[in-house]
Amino acid sequence: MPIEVRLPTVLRSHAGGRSTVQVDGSTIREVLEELATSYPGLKGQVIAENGALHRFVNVYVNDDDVRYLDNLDTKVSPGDVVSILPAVAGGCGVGTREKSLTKCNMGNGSLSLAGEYLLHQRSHSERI
Amino acid sequence: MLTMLFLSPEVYEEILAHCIRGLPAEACGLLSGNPATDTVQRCYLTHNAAASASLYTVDPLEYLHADRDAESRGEQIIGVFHSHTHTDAYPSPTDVEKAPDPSWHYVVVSLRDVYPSLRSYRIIQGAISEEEVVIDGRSMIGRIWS
Repeated sequence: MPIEVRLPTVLRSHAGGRSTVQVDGSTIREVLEELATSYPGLKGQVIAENGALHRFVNVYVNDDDVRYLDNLDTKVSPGDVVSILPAVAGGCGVGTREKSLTKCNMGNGSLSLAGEYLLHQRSHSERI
Repeated sequence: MLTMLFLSPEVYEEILAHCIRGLPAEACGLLSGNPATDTVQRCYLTHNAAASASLYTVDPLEYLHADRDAESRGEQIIGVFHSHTHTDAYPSPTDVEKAPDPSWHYVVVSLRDVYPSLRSYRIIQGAISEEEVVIDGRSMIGRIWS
């Protein structure tokens, strides 16, 4: 029995517009690799080149974040629902410093990473 | 041509109240509705997992639950709102970098001044474009809302 995988809106175009697909696998890694094989546009979107989960993507097995389980080695069983969701974040950023690996929304259904060192100065509109 | 976001007065008030309640940190939540008509049917008031006055992260598990709930109602998550506690109601460089979905509406509420300011934007390939917020048939462009 295959595993149900729910896709976020931003990745659905790579799966023919589908919000849910069925793939086989006994671990999250297998499920995601099978996903990338069946839908080549998804390759590199969830698992980064270094073989780990993308920093700005969250993967759940039912209600459990795989980062709190076994990451990509988390086991899945028939009947489990795997959900892939992007991190939703932002903020005025004033006074923060973020090093490297900035997610860049390319607007074409991809979540690519660009390495950049950012130092946020006082924002243009901040009043003392 | 300006794109639009349609809100009900009830959702508008929920958004503002949630942002005020979140002080001194930024507050955030998700907008659910019909992407084809840019209409928000409801908002999900989520926790800011970053609990910071300069950053927000929608609690991932709450996003999952909101996503499921929206789907069960025949809706989709079509955007996110968050507050800027001491800066403009305009997407910051951080907001632009981290924008997760080019199809979404990005609502920013500024609590800098005496009266909150709510504005909405599209963020596509790093480009910000403001859109018209229509509440109960009334366009909010150029109005001061209190």
